[in-house]
Amino acid sequence: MSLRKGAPLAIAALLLCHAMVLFAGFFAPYSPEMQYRLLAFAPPTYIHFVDTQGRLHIRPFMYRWAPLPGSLSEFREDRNSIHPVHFFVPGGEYKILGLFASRMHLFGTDKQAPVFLIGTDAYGRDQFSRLLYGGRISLFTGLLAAAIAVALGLCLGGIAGYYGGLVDDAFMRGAEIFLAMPWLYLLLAVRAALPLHIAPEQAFVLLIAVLGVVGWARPARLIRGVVLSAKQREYVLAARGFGASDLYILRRHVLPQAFGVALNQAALYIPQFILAEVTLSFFGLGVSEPAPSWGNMLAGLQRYYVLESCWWMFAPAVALVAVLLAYYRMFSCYVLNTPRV
Amino acid sequence: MRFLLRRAFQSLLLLMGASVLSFVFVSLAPGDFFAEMRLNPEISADTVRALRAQNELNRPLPVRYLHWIGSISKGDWGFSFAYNSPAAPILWSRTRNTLLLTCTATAFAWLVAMPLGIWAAARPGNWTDLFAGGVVAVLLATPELVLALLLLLFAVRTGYLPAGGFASVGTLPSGMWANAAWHHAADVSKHLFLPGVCLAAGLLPLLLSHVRTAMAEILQSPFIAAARGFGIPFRRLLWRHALPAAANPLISLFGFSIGMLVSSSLLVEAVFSWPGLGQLMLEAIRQRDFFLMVDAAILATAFLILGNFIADVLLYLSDPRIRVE
Amino acid sequence: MDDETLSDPLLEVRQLSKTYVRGRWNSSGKSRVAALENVDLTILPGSAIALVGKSGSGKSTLARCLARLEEPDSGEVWFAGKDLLRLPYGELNRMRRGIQLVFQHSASAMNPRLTAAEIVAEPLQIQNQTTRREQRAQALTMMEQVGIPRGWSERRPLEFSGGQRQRLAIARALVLKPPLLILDEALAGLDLTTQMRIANLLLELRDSLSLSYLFISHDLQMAAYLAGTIAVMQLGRIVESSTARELLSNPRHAASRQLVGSIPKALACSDGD
Repeated sequence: MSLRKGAPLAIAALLLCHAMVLFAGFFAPYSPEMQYRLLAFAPPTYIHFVDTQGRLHIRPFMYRWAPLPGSLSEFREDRNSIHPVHFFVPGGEYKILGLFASRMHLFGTDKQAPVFLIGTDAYGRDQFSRLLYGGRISLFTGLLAAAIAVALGLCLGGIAGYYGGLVDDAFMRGAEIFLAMPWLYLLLAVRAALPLHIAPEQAFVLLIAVLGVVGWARPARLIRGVVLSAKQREYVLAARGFGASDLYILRRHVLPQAFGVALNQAALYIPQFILAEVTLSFFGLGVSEPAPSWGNMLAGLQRYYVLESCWWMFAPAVALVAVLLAYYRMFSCYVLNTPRV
Repeated sequence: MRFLLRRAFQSLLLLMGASVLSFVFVSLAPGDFFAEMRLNPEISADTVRALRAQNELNRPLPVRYLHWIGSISKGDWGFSFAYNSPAAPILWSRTRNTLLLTCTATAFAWLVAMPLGIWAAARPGNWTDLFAGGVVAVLLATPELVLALLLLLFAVRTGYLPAGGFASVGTLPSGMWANAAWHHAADVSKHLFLPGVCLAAGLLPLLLSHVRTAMAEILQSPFIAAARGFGIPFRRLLWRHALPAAANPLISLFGFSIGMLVSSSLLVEAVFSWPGLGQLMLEAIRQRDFFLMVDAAILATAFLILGNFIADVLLYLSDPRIRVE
Repeated sequence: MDDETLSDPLLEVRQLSKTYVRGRWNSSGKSRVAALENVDLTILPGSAIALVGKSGSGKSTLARCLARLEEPDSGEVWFAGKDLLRLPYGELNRMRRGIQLVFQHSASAMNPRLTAAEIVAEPLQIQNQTTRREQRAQALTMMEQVGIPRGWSERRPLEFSGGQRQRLAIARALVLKPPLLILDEALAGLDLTTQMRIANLLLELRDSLSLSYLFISHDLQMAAYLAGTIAVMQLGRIVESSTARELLSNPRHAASRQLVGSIPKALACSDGD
């Protein structure tokens, strides 16, 4: 099927995406919390090459948004002066990977005319910068939470399957209860155990923990099955006959079998958990303002005015769909088809 | 019959387990409804303390749990602090609304998925199949949240359908809708349409791909080839022979789909401000309204478990092999 | 083991019993199956004993209990002057190299992800003997000894035929140089020609490595070909034990008579199972 062809493209897109959000400071022209109060809900800036006199410019330029007289939310381009777009310009300070301070940005314009690639939100904050910084939270929550949930599942499922008996029964009954609850209600119930308002840095860590706790059951159950069947293989018995320890058998014969399943589960969980973070933040139960996340950026759309007249506020939704598509495409080609011995 | 009894017993145990789980998690929450009340200068600390004692918020967890479960069995679902009223009546109207929404969505989704999936399986590679594949791909990649926002945009832009809520307020019946009950029903179904479509669309890719796979698998089996050899017309073969044979996985799918639906209805309810359980749960969390939180979680879980139990009953009725066992 | 005299038994089993309990702790219907009941068995160094009986008579359970892959309920297993059932865990694992098992289903007895050389070297690796390189060299030598060319060492088990795989299994069992080899239905499921080839290989190996065999089978003829003494099992007990010749010509117990009486039939379908 044509699905296969898209995989390298999907991987490239995902790598680019993750790199961009990881180095959001460099790619974003502004800080996510920088407000241009007079430019609330400004539409995306047009990038021009030809000026009003019909002259062609090599360097792209833009016009400043000016509010229409008597209105705060409608804008027109102020064509009196042009503002060229510069690349690799110094701007606001940020930290690369949270370690090294830097001022270098990929692009920028002069102070009087801020560039908004995908418009601004209710506080006049640059959506493009927020999209990048928010993606850092949304994408990496999904990735890390999936890793934690699967790791938990691997441990608990492995123990249950390997030792069997009462431990197995206890763990699996527990898993069944987790699986019996509707996923979003379970997520909210676990979320309810945390304070309502969490500082953004904590929110990231706590969300990952919550998702990990909520998600352990499914991989644990599957991995238990794999371990259980691997344990009864005669080669495990044979290894025991050579005097192998539990640890050796787990490491050499049981876990390699389980890793395939674990990878598969992670593949299913990453998109699901990205969505979970977006959903929680959308409801105001995840990452809270002023820190951006794709979820709380979308929350603005709950106001009919915004929904109707600010189409650029849908940008996080577009990014979300694109990322999910790329993940689905990648996994449908690789992980789900991995040969299982 | 023993199969069903055992399943019913297991379901009950699961529900109990889920109730413990949600009770414990929700109880872990720092602060409660009265903690915020304390900030209000008009309410004295003693009042708050008395209220907490009255609602047993200062007793140990297991005691509170047992008390709660005990009172539920007597029909008392606790007390909503935010509404300042017993929880049961609030819960009933919310539960009814959620049921209305999920049942509508289930009907929508299955009514579309069955014929489309069966025809896609019967004629692989033709336009029905390609269309079904396209629908699956597009809907699979569109999260329900985005779908809901797009439908909301549609409603706001066109104005054909109400953008949210359960029923319009203060419109007078006129013309052929003069009958008030009819008018109300029509009004509610108008409000129901978009959330219902949204939920159904979220469920559709799963149903469609499973119906197609299940049918395709059956159509390739030897007994269908044999039946074809007898000269049974294809249409009859499809509906009378293949479909009953494919029923088992589809019934299990039905049980599973209820779970998905209950979960995603939370989201859809919130976006379309449909006054159901999900919205109630969100409200309750924001207000730390303890009993509503656990009750909503338990009721939603009960839906899911009930859905699976219904699937078991259907399976029992349709598959003679289970009855023998 | 060379200094041991012939009269000293290599392995002595006394009053071994094992009962399986079906059903778990929380289910109501538990059933008990006596797989072994007071089994006595003696194996002398360099000798071969066959254990025959119908399926479900407890042969495989005995084999697994001897290798202590399963825990018997009571009894004693004396090997090299020690009771295996009362050894602490660490010492047991060192003693284990002395008794090795070859399973019936060679395909499932090997991890399909590993290569032939890795599989044969695994026991050495577990017992932590010598270096990696030396382990591999020993494994390759052992593979040649059972008739598998060096060039095949990087193949995976599923690329081998059933007979070759069983040779590989024998190589793996012998790489630790155990004095006792237990073959649990090791020839079942192979075609007759392959069975004979492997049987001859086993006889050769017995002479060159001075091995003792416990040969478990439901095929009386093959048992008689490989072993001097045959013990007949029924419902967890050894009901008769005599030399192969005597058992074939003059079976005393009803179970033995039944087995002897079914020889032509056994020939006709011995590759089935």
